[in-house]
Amino acid sequence: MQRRGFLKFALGGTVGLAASPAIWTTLYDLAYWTQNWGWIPRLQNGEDLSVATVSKLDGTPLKVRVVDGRVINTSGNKDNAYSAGGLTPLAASEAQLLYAESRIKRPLKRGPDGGYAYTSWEDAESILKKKTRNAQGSLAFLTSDSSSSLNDIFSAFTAENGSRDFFFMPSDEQAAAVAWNTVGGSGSLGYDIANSDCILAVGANFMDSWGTVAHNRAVFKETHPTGENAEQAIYYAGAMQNNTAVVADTWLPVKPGTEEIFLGAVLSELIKNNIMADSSLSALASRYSIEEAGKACGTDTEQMKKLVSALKNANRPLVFAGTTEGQSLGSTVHMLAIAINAVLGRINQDGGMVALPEREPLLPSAQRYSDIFARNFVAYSMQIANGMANAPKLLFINDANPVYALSKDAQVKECLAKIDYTVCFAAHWNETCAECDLVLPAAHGLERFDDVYTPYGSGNINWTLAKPVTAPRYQARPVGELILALADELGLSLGVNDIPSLLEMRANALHADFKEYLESGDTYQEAFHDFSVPTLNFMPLHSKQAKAPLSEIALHTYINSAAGNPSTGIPPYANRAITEYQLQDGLCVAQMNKATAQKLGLADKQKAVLETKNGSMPVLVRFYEGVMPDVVAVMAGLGHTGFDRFSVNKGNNILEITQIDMEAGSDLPVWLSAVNVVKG
Amino acid sequence: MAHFKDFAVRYGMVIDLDKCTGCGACMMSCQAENNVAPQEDAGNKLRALNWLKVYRLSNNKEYPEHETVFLPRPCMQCGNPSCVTVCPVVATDKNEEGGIVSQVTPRCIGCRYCMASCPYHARYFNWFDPYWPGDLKEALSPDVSTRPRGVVEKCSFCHQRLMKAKDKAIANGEDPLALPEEAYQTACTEACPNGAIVFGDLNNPEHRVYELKQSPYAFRLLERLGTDPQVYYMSKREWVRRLGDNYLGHEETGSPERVLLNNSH
Repeated sequence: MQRRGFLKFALGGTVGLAASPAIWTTLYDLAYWTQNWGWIPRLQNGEDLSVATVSKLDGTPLKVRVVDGRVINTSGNKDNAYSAGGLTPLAASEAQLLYAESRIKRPLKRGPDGGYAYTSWEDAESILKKKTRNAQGSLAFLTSDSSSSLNDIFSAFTAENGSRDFFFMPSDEQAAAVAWNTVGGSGSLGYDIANSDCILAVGANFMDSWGTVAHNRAVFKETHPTGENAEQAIYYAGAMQNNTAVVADTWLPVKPGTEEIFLGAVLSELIKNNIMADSSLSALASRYSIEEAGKACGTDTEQMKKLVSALKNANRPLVFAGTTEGQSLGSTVHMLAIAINAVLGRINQDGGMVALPEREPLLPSAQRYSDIFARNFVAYSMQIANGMANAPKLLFINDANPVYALSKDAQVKECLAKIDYTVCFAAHWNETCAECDLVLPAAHGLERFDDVYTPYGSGNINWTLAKPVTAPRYQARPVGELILALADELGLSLGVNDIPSLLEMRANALHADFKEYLESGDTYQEAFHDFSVPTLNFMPLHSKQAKAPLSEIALHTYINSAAGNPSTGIPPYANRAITEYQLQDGLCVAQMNKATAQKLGLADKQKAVLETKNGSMPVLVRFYEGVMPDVVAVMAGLGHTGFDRFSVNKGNNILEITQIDMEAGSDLPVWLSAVNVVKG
Repeated sequence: MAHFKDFAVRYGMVIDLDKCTGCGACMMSCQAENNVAPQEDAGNKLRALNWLKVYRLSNNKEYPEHETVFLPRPCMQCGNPSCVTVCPVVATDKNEEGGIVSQVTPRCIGCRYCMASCPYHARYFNWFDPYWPGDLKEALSPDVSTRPRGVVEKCSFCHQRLMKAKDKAIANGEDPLALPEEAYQTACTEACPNGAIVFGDLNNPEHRVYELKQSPYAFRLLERLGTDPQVYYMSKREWVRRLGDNYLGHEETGSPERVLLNNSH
C-alpha cells in the first residue's frame, strides 16, 4: 500500500468509526453493564420503620431508620421539643458505629504472653464471679457517662462489694460540682441557656462539645431566626476562634490558664460599675483589674469593658466556664463564674445559673452524685501508681478510655499494671482494652435500654429514654444487665431485677408516664421552679492564689466533635470532616498565628516537632490568625492505636503529652501545658 | 443570560453563614443518606469525595482583626449548568421540574469534563472501589444506588426524598408540583442543628427561601459567571459576601444587575 493510500484508509476509518453509533453504543453498554457487576453492593429493601430513641454518645434525641431489621441511619427527632429536631455530627454516626469493624465480637481474655484469645461468655462470667468474690472490699469502678440512671446499678454494685471507689472520668461537671459544693450551694449546678438574653461562655464550647449540645443549638436556632435580628447575645472567651466563637457576637481571646484572672477582672469591673456585692466579694474583686487581666490574658481591655457593660445592661445575663474537650479547669474558675452570676442577681433566676435538685439515687446502696464527684480518678490513679494508696484487687472500666484520654501525668498504665485484675466493658476495641485482662463486648447505645437524665449543662430537670432498636450484634451484652446478673450470682440484692424496671423507677420518681416516653422518644422536662436565692459563701475563694500565667507558649487542645470521642474512635464517615488544618500528610496540624510562628522561627506548612514536659510529637505548622498569640492549637482525637482502619495512622495523640497539675485545696486535675515547637 | 430551561418549581437553599458553626453534621448525614462510601484516609483532599463539603473562610486579616466563617457547599444546581453542556453521554442533565441537575452514574463514562467545567468543585470522581468494610454494608440506604469506581458523582438535593414526597402527594390526591415546604427537605437541612440551611422552592412565595433569597445580605457564589446557582448564601458581613465572587476593589457586592445599576449611577 502506498503512503497516500494508507493515510486515506486511516482517515476514512477514523471518520467512519466516529460517525458510526457502534463505538458509542459499546462505550455506553460497557459503562452501564460493568456497574451492575457484583462489586458494588446491592441494596436490600424491606419493612421501613422509624424508631425514636436518644443517642447515648451525646444525648441527642433521635429518629432511627430501620429497614428490614437493619439500622440505616439516624436523624434528629422533630417531635422532640428539647432538641427541635437538630442532630449533632456524632449522633449522625450512630448507625455506622453500630456496624463498625472495631466492634468487639466476643469476650477476650489476656493470656500469659500478653496476647488476647476469644473465650466464651460462660468462662468470662465465671472469671467475673470468682474475681469479684475475691475482691470483696477492694473493687473499683470507672465509667464516663454521668447522665445514665444505670450508674445507680454500677455504684450500688461497687458499694455492695464493700467499696466506695466508684468514679467518673474527669469532666467540667465534676469541677463545677466541687465548686458549687465549696461555696455552699445545694443540688446540682444548671444553666438556663434557653431563657438567657446574654451569654458569656469562658472556654466552654457550648455550640459543639460542652453541655447539652443539641439543646443549646436548638436554642440558638430559636433565638437567631434566619433573616431576622438575634434575640440572644453570645460572648465567647477562649484561645481560638472555635465553633462557638465563629457564631458569637464577640470573641474575646483568653490565653489558656488565665481564665481565672479573666473572670476575676469581669467581677471586679462589674463591682466598679456599681453592681452591688457583699464585702467578701468586693474584697475578692479588689485583687483583680481589667488592666492586669489585659496583660495576663491577652484580651483587649476595651472589649472587656464592652462585655461588662453588656452583662450589666442585659435583662437575663448568664456566665459559665468550661473546656472545649470536656476535661477540667479546676474548681476556682467555676466559683468565680458563680460569683459573677451572684452579683448580677442571676442565681436561681430565669435564664440564669440554677440549682437543680440533685439526681436522687434509685437504689438503696447507690451512691449520691455529690459523693461520687468528691473523689476523682486522676488523683486515685496517680496515688496507686506512686504506691501512695493500695491498688484495688479488681477494676471495672465501663465505656471509658482513660489510657487514651488522660495525660501521661495521670499514670493510668502504671496504675492498671498494679491492679490484680482489670475488666473492660466496651463496644469498640480501644486503647484501654489493650491494657486490661478481660475485655467484654458491650452493647452499643442502639442495642440497649438506657436513659439520659439531666445531663450536665441542662437548665432544667429533663429525661429521655433510650431503647434498643435492634438486638445486640455479635455476642455483645448490655453492661447493666450483666452487672445485675453478676450481683444475682453473688447473692447481692441491688433492689432491681432488670434495666427497664430501673428506668420505670426513674419515670415514677419523675411522675412521668414510662410507656408514653418509651414510645414517643420525647424528652420529659420539668420547669425550674425553685427561685429562692441561696446563701453562698465565697470565703473559700479568698484562700485561692491566682495561678501565674504561663510565660511560655501555651497549648490549646480542642476537639472536632464529628471525629468521635475516646470511646468511639473516629466514625467511618468522619474522616471527611477532619480538615486539612487538623490533619495533613498523616501529621497533626499545629495551628498558630504568624506572630507566634515568627517567635518560634517557623514557616507555614513546615514540618516541626511539638514538645511538652511529657514528650514530643511531629506536627505540621499551619498559620491561622484565629488563634491568639503565644498559643498553639492542636486537635485532640487523633493518633489512635485502637479501633479500626478509620481511626489508626492519623497523627499522634496530643492528650498523651498534655500536662496535668492538681489544684490546691480541691485536688482536682487542671490541664495546662507549656509547649515549644521546633523545626523538625 | 437566558436560563437553560424554565421550571415552575426550582428547589434551592439559602444558607445563613452567620449561623454555621462548621460542625459537620450536614456532611455526616449527607453521606449516610446517599450511601457515599467511607474513606480510610480523606486527608488527601485531591482524592477525597464530598457531596457536601464545609470550607473554612477567612477575612485574611491578621490577629486580632481576623474573622472566620464556615461555608457548606453542596451542588449549586445551577440554572445554567456548565456541567450539563459538556457531558458527552448525557449522564448529567437539568430536565425535571424542581431544577435539580441530575447525575445518572450508570451512564457516566468518567471523562471528568463536568468536573473541569464546574466552577464550584461540586463534582467528584470515584478514584477508588467503594468499600464498606465489615458489616457497614448493613447500614446502606435502600433508596440510593451505590456507585462504582470510575464515575463522577455529586449532590442531588436528596432526589430520592423528592420522589417519595411526590409519590405521597399523588397518592393523597395533591399536586406534586406544589409540595408544602416540610414535605421535601434534604438530609443536610434536617440535620443542621442551628437551622443555618433553609430549603424549599425558590419560586413558591409560601416557602421561606422565596423571601430569604431577596435579602440584601443574600448572595450566590460566582454569580457573575451567569451560572444562576439555586443555592444562595447569607451573611451580614461584607467581607464574606465579597469572597463570593471575584470583585474588583471598586465593585460592590450584589447581583450582576445590581452591580451594573450601581456603576451606571
